[in-house]
Amino acid sequence: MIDVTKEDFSVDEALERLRSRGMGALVTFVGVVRDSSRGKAVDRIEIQVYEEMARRQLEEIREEAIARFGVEEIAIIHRYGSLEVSDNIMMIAVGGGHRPEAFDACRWVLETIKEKVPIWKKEITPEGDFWVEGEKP
Amino acid sequence: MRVTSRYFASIMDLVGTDGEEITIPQGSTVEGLLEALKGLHEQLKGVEPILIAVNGAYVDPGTMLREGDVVALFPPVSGG
Repeated sequence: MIDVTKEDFSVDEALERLRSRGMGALVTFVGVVRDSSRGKAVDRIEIQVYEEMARRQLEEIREEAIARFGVEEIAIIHRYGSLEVSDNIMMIAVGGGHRPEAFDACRWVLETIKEKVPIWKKEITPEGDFWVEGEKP
Repeated sequence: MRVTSRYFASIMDLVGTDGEEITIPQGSTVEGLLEALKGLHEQLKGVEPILIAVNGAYVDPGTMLREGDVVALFPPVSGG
């Protein structure tokens, strides 16, 4: 399940949709807005997304992770728009037969999203607004 | 031929719009379009790195463009 949305999400609901009888492990990562970045205060963040491309990339990452790690199913939800401190930014939930492949897949999905998916954060701070830019892949 | 450019994040702020239609010579590559855009928008000169996607997929600078392509320019991503 892939979603790119302005709305908040429920981790419990996502896990209920993901769950199946063959899964012995559900590993979840939730990214949230922190009140500081690189030693400076952050009031809120704005997230921009190239939605058509992001959806396609997230779907490809989901499919590749299932094939690579042998897990059963993966849900990825990423929000965009204006988010306050402590708001949810994104979640990844991986359901697998056992914990090792579920943890490995969750970490790989997160790092691959940070490298490839066209989504950008802008930090709104008392000192001005700053785009956060990642490493070139 | 005509292609559509789209800009995101800091590139969008630099150019001052989220996209535009550009006419370029038939057979132009992504690199050729980028040079044309740097001519149109001086503020893009010296901006590195710029990632480029055509019709929603990452491409190399040598990729040939076709009529109607949507070419997105953006800085390294920072989601997650």
